[in-house]
Amino acid sequence: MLIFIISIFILVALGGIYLISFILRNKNTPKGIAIIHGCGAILGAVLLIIYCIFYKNAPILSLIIFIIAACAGIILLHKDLSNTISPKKLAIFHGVIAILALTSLIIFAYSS
Amino acid sequence: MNTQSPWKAQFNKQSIYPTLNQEISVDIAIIGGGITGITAAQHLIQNGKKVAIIEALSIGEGTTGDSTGNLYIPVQPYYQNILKKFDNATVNTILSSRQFAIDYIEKIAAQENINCHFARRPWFLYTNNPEQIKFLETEVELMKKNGVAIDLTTSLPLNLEFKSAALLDNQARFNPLIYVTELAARLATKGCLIYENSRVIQSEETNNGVIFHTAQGKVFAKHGIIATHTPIGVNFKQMCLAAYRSYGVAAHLEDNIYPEGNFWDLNQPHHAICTHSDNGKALNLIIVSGNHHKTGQRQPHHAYYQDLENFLSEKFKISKFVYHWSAQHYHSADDVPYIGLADGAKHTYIATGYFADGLIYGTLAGIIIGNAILNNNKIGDWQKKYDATRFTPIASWSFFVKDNINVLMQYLKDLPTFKTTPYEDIKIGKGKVLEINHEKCAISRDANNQLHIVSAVCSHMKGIVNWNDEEKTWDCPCHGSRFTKEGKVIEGPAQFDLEKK
Repeated sequence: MLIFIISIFILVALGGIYLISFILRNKNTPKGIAIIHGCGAILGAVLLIIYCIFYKNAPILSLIIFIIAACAGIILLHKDLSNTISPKKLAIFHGVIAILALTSLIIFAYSS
Repeated sequence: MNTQSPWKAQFNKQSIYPTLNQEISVDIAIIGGGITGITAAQHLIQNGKKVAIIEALSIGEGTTGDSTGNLYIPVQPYYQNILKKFDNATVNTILSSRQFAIDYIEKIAAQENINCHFARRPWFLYTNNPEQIKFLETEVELMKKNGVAIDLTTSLPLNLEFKSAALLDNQARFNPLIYVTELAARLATKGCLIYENSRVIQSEETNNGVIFHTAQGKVFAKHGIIATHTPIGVNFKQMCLAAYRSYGVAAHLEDNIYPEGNFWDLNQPHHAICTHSDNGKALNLIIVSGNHHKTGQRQPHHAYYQDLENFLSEKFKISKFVYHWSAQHYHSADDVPYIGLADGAKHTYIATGYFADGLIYGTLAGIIIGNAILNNNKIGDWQKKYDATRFTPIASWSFFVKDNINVLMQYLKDLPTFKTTPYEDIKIGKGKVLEINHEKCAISRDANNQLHIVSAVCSHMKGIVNWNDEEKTWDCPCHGSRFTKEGKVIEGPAQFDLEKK
């Protein structure tokens, strides 16, 4: 199950890299991709929560970092849609945190 | 064929008030010079307040000037549906407040000596569908129970086929553009500051009031009223609203017989037929309105005007089609408009969600908000029923879920195409969203074969605009912002033009 969750997060990360390429070039992100990216992340997070509930040895740290990344993602979407700030810094923060969470999850999967 | 409403076409209105290009301080600042803003100003000026009206276009040029000029107490969502969502007290409040608004317009027109062609006339509801008879009778019974003098009738003054019909007397018609323009002129002589061609691009609340910013000026006020049909900018209330465009067609009849009346059918799509005068003399027009669809979500290749023309031609002998035009209206999540203090605000009032019944609701909103300001927000019964911050989860959930999924689906359509279609494919009078250098661009070709290229990303909340073939505009399917082919804001919550490319 953990491998399946990791696969989902890798696909989500690819979507994120595509989206951040738009933000870094000061272009509008395709909102369809942003929504698919968000839905994929929610699916991965829900599966990870289920995994953490049913397995004693669970990647709690990864889950916490993913939740932080998700919160940043929600703020990013809100800021982007409401034109409040240029979301570059927040987008980079969101991406770095998410990659950190994914890396820690991969390390957990291969070390346990 | 004139592509404006009869009122706009006949009035040929020009901007006469200055643009705001300085800082001013008033008691109340009103954004929007339609029937809501002008009524609120009238009510407040009458009570000794210093008022400024800031209009993005010219007075009455927005939806007020595009309405059909009918005044009636029935409502588009129908009272029996409101009863299901609320209670009889709410139905009663809406009925009595709408009746008050009709009388108020008549009183103000007489008091201010405004020749806006106000005339009393009957309203009819009819159906030719046996399955709708029960619905019609229930509506009649409910209104009667609440003291309205409505009853079933066996005849209609227009030659319309029906199986059941109801008659409600003493409703009215008027020329809405003359009413608001003339009332604004009277207000200006009483000290009301009026600014046209002044779009508010930022509004903020302070501890003591509000500040409205335009491109060249600023208004400081103790209270602010956003009378812009839908709140401008990003506002939570937009999740409880859906923008619709409806169409109107006006024609001359061969026999020149135009009985007084406003006739609603119960069919889907709904049509409302009425008679009017475009010159203030004898009735000389038959108008059909309806055929509405969500703004920016028109069916491709569907000829909405042609549809209405066919509808009229099937029922009457038409000598000439004279006008066709369209207008925007907003549905609220629980079928009752939102009027009063905005969510989380202390000094900013909004009025929205009128459905296509906006001339009455707009008048009411002006009175209710005016009263709220004058009475220091002491809550009256009307204020409570129309409260803009009300929480009605049971009455609103179906609309809220359905309409916000619809908005989400519009955003989901914004996917990369990875291809560039040549501009040459765009024919004269047509528009298309194309991807250029990884960005969505709204490209249209005007009648002079000139190409216009603007960003297709709505300046409100970044939905992708769609070409409106009937109006030659770019319309956002998410929250109803509309732009000219050059990208200038026409209406809706957007405050900024589409970016030029």
